[in-house]
Amino acid sequence: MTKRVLIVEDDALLALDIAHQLSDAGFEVIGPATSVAKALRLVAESGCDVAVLDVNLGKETGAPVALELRARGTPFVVLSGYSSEQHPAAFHGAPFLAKPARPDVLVAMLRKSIGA
Amino acid sequence: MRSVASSKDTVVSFPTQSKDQAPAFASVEHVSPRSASSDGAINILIVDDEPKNLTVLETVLSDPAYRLVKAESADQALLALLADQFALLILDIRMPGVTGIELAHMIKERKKTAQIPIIFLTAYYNEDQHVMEGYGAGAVDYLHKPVNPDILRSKVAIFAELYRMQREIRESNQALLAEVAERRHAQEQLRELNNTLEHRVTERTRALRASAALLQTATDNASVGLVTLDGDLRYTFANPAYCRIFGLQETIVGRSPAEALAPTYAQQMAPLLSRALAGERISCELSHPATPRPDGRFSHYSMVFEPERDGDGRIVGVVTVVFDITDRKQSEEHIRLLLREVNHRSKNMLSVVSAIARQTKAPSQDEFMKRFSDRIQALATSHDLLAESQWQSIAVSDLIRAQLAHFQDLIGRRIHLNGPPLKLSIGGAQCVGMVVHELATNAAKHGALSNQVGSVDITWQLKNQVGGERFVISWLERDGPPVMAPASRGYGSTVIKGMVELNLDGEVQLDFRPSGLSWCLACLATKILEKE
Repeated sequence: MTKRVLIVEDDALLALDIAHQLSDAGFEVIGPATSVAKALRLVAESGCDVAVLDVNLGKETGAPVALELRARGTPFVVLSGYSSEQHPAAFHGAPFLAKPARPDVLVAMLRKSIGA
Repeated sequence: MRSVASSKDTVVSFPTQSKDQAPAFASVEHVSPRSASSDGAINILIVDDEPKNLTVLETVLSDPAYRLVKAESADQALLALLADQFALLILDIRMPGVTGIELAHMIKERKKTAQIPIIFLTAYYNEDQHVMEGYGAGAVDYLHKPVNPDILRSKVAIFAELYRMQREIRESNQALLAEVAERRHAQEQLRELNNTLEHRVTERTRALRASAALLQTATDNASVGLVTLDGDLRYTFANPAYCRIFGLQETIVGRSPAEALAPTYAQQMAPLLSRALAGERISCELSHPATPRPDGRFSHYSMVFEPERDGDGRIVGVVTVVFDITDRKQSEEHIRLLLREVNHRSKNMLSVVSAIARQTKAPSQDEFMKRFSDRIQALATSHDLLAESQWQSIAVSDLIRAQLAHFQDLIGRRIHLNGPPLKLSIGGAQCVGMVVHELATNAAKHGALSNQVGSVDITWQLKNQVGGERFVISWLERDGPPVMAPASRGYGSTVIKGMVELNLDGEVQLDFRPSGLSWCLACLATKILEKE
């Protein structure tokens, strides 16, 4: 079954780039969402099997989305320009990839999260 | 008794003392005006119309102590009196012309000579009338001729002595007056000196008071906390700022930190104070929740403990200075955050470059490099523009022109810009910049800028609509070669449609019309224009 991946990233070009990569890898892309509000709406409306979550969404952090996904038991991969010590607590423990991330590595990590 | 007279014999018969014979005609000895006392000798004027008598008198009175001046007439006498000061005048009464008595009157009338004692010599015995006249004229004494030399000498001596005494008294007086004048002058000087000194003292005191007042004002109003402690580490002075910083309500002078401050501070300060008292200069930082700021955050202070030394360099206590470094700490924190942001953005930028590389499709390596570096350049151009405007905002026309730099000679001829002066936010500028670059590159390769006659109209405006003001911008190509929709969606189409819509929450209409490509973006003005 095609896995649905939610992309939460505020830089549109990056978000679309990731969308292309994941779509090419066989995922169904939900979003991308460039803000917490949009992301939470997509989670509520469509749901997803896994998510790629940026820590920093402009002036806000993606922490609320992380919490919501945890509450639903949905795994996610953290993609960030910050080092992991700088992440809010909500992101701790989740698999983390530093930007710029190689597409194949991201795909592998997503598949692993789903499988786990 | 008459002796045999020679031409030089005197008429008066008494033994002469001096062998010197005075000349027959005595003239007034010419002397330069001088006081009687220049050589100690006193001047005596003898007046007689008979030269022989003058000679006799001269002989009788010859003495180193006397300087005898002779006159044969009233006129000569008066002349002599002008020239010198005389202790005594010896006048012959019986003279032709102006008599001795008349001369005496004249002499008495002149103030300068009025006091000079006069001895009248008269040849007329027992002439009481003359005596009365003479005394009336102010004479002091009468002597009858022939004069007894001894008597004359002794009388003259008396007057000489009188004169000398008077002269001495006068000189004494003058000396005394001079001394008094000097004393007075010295006193004056002393008084002046005193005044000057007092004035200076007043000035100094005033200056001292002023600087003390200034110091007081400075320490009272300073935002720097300042205290001094004595050798027993008890407070001897605390300024208002220190009390404010530590939330002290009452005076702490005389108390120790343990008694005055909250336990945590006292405990932390105790070892530092001891070390300072031992001669060490210590500085440390203190985060202080006792004085919450209006924004609820903590204040940060820097404290310096220094030994206080007296004039001889001995340590007599400790000085503590406390100053607020909250702003500095905030700046440091701010810089730390900025650096973190820069790191984050660099990572993002690298990701974007990575994405561009991934999505740039080209038939050959060379073509790839060209397209890829073109796009990176477009990114850089936007950045430069933003940096120039200090990362605030960019005018729409400035941005478009910058991205059309390669075609700048076409602007106004084949490329037309039209729209109000609006400023784009950073995000909006980066977005529109990339779009314009892609559209221009595409137009140059396949569209209206790839032949000689095609043109591009770029128009933007604000539209008031339900839901808010909207920003609309369009790119319309005309008279280019026949348009074909691209076979595959590459980076270019991602940028001009997907990215823009996602970034700005807007709608893009992209039409590959046969007459020319048409691109139009509409979004909420708030999403794309600079924040007011």
